[in-house]
Amino acid sequence: MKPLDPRLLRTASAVRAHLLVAGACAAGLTGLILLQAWLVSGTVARATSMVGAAGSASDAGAGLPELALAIAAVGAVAVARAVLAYGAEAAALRSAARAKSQLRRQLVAHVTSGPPTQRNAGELVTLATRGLDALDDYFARYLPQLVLAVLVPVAVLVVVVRADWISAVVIAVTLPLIPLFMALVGMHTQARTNRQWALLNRLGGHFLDVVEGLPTLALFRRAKAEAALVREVTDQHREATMGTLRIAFLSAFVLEVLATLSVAIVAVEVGLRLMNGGLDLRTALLVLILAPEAYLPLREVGARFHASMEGIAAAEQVFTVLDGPGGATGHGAGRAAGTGELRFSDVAVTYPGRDRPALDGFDLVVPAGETVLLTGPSGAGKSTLLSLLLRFVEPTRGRVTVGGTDLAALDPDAWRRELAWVPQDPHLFDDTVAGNIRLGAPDASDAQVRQAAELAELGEVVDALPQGYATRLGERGARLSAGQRQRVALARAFLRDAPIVLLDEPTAHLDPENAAAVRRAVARLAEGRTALVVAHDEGWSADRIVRVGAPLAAVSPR
Amino acid sequence: MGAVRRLVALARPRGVRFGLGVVLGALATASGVGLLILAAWLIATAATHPGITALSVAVVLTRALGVSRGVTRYLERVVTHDAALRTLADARSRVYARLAATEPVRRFRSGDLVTRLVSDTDSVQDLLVRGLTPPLSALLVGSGVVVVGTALLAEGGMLLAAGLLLAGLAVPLLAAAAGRGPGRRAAAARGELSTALVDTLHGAPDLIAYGAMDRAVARVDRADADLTRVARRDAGLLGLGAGASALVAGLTLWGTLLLGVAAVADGRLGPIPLAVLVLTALAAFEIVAPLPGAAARLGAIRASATRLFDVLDTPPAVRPAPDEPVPAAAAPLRVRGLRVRYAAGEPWALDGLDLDVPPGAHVAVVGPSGAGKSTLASVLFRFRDADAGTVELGEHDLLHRSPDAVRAAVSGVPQDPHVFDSTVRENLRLARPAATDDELRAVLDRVRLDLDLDDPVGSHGRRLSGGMRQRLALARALLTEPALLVLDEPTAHLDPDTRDVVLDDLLAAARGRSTLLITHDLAGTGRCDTVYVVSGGRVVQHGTPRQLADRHGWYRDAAGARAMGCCADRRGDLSVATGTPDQTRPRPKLRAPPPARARPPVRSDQCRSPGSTNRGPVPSDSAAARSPSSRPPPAPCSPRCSS
Repeated sequence: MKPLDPRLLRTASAVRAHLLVAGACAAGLTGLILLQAWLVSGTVARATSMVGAAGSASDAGAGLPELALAIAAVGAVAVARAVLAYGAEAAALRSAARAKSQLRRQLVAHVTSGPPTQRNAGELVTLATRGLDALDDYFARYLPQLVLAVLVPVAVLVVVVRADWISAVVIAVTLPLIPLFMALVGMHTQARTNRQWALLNRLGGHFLDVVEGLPTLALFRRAKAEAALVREVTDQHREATMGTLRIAFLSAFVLEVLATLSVAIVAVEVGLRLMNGGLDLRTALLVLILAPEAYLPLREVGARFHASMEGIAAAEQVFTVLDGPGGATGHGAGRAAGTGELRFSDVAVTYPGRDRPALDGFDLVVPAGETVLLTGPSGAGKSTLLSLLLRFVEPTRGRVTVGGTDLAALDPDAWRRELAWVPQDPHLFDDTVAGNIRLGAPDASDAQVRQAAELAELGEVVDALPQGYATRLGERGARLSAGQRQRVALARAFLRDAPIVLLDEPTAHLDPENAAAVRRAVARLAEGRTALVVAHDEGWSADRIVRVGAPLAAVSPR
Repeated sequence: MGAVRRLVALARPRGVRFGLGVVLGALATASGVGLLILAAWLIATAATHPGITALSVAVVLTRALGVSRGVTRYLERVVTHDAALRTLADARSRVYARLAATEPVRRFRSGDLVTRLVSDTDSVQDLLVRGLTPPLSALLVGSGVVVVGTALLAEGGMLLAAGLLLAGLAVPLLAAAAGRGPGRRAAAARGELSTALVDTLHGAPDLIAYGAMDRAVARVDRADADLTRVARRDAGLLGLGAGASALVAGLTLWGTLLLGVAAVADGRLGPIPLAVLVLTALAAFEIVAPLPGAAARLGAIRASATRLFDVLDTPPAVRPAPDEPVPAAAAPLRVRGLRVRYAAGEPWALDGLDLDVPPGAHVAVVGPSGAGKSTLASVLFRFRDADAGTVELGEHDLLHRSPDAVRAAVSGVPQDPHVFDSTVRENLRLARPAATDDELRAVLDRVRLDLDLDDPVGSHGRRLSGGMRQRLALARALLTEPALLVLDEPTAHLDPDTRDVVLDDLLAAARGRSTLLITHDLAGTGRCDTVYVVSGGRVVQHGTPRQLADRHGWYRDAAGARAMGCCADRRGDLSVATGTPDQTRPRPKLRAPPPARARPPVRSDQCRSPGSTNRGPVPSDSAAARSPSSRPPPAPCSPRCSS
């Protein structure tokens, strides 16, 4: 994993601004650190010299009044450092919020362009919220520290080399050793750690498996016997984790030892030279105060790197999605009234990544106004037929025409206005009942919404809700049963009032009463419209039954 | 605070290890601070040009401290993580034991609570490693440093103590308190955003089909803008901690210089102690550096701990009862006046239910969702107690026997039976640990499952199809040889293609055994001896399927709604067979039951009971009348029985 992903800089302009601010703050902080060290060493050295080397009474004459200015300056530096630390953190959090927002909007814009894909929506939601939130640590804590880790050691070296070149050599030699050793230890442990994590995941999964299976275990009177096993597995888990950690801590160990030992070496070396008169006290103190400061940001970066890993991983996932196909279909500009006959001519569809076509050499003509029932075994391509009409997929071969015009030549959005779709598992939004019904007709009046609901056999259901049509349905329409949700989708279709209606297994997984209600509503909806109904069973009134997947069987008219 | 204290109490058995960790951590911090203090003394002393012997001890000690810091820090990490992981293992065992005792677990299965339980126990580790030992180590080293400071200059020591207390205690706590408001506001804004995102991404097909995607994206952008605005406005509050820490450290250094120089002027402090005191003040704040992080975590840890103790404090779902064995011999089940509700004041889930299962009979309980069917299953499985009524198997009162005693005689397939991430053999042996491979193969054969015993089934049995999982679950139940077999919605998540085939096979495998089939779907009920229709927690109708199909009521209406569907499905079975729904699942080595296999036992069984000669309920409702004439009449459904 790179410390700073260049794609992050390219994608989010806020990141570039953030880096500039972080750089400025880091430069200011570095200056203040140097200034503080210079002031403190100077004050202590002068105060000491006023006592005199031999410890006799103040002969040098530098009393409190002479040092007042320097001491006041130390106080001022303290305040300035605090203000800068506060400002840097606040600014970092602010720009982190902006950068996250930019990434999130790009992600959403990317995945919502074009037809819906098979992406895992749940993962994307987690990525866009909690995943990106992990970037806070990265932006606000890691990146500024990274800038400091570059600036401070260099600045300290510059100052120390002018004060005492031998100490500078010690620092200059050990500093690069830290990243070097960390990389070496890291490389050595990476493979082993990966192997260990696989084991850890397996053991962690076992606990979950056993907890989730508790009712089953209880039923077979094994729940208590498993307790010993849980203990055993968690113990294995602990041992495996410790094995990983013992190695993972090694890099921190190397870092600490190198940093502390070199400070110790500098201290001893400075002390000995001071004793021999090769150095004055002020310089010695300055070097002693500055030496740990050179290592501190490096240590902090190491510690914060791990905390921000999650954010970096999230950012990489975002880029993977952004680099993936956006899925925009060929956009025709044409418009057509959906009143003509629908014709599938030798249509084949093969989904990306699949060997077998979902639909192959399919022919069908549906005259305007006809109701066709599409049946056939699972996987025969019934839903793919509807997806073709919805322009969610494009035919890999053959063509779909409406009134003689190829669908591919039509503007997808304009064409979809001719359709009303009731999917197998309609999505209900966290909105009011009325808002959900208005999905395809945002400007419909309350009376129209009510009428659509009545037609969809939803009227009584809504009247029983606490606030009627103004009742919020909760996430995914949690307030309603599957059958009621299906009827909301039917109400959408009624309100849409489109000439073509597409229904995908509208009664699958419904209990008998709900299924009966949905059937009545569907019959009403299909009246006077071109209707394609995908269903497993054949208990539907239709002009024709078409069996998909099997040799085409057009059966008797009504 | 109670939850955190209890969490700490969980660690008490590991007290010695944690104590060692605290000492090691203190040594590590002390090495770092001590190094600078010693170096200050070394340099200040060297400035007086003493002999090398005066410095030699300090020189050696300095180098030793340079190494000891890394070593002790490493050891501290190993020791505290080990102790925390041991405590974590204790906590997990206790959570598991408690869940095993509270049993139905359903209370904790809503949403992702089980997963959260797993991560909540991780908060134990977080608290112990980052929240408990660093403050204790800091307390030790901080006291030491204050003692050193006070020894050098009394007022300097006091100042240092005040500075450390402020930076180590007051600032972290205040910062954590200041962060609570922003955290709440951000959580609210994030909730809005996440809802909008869920709607937009999960509902993408609906949105696109209805041309509403632009509006949905605009809603996400609005929610995003709100969240960003909240975060930007609150950034100031969140930065306060960092600023305050820096201010306290800087001002303490400034005050120490001021006091020190004044004391030197007064002659109360020598030059060497001055240097030592100032550098002590400079180095001391390393001690309290980890504390703001610990304080910031405290809220999350408390929330996790509360959830954890919610589980640990839950009373068992079943009252203690005598462990008197219930023989697993065939015996009639008699349920009389069974009443159950989930909490006082809630409506009755079962409200005086009466039901009989004669020995060897197949009885179905059907009814709309929410009728109380699954509650009946949990009572029979002894997952929960009943509030009133009796459940007798022969002359044994099941409601007053221990769960394990009852489960020796009553077994079956619960809703969503869990298939463990192991092999077929291990999953089966759960029910009868002593079973031989031959016995296991025999039972697999009975449920028509063609699997190798060594086949891995994958996590949640994902390498098996839904139908295969149900068959495996039934095989497991059959191995216990129960007196009563309860099948709770065995076809709930199955594809319509497989639903009826699976149910046929399950009922065939249970032939001769008292079986209670609980279902909201009428599939298979036609082949049962008796059907009970339950609604509102009571039996509203019962009789043979034939009788019910002829009577007005829920059964006939539901059968009508199912209409010809049942027969259409059945014809589908014959031609499409069971293979289709499995196509998409990776099933290396695993084979679906061969559809072409002859099924003589199934047939003879089907014709056994009087109700089963006409397998599909007679459709007579208006939906059927409306339906197209293209379908075959219902009677031809029976050829399979006529052999």
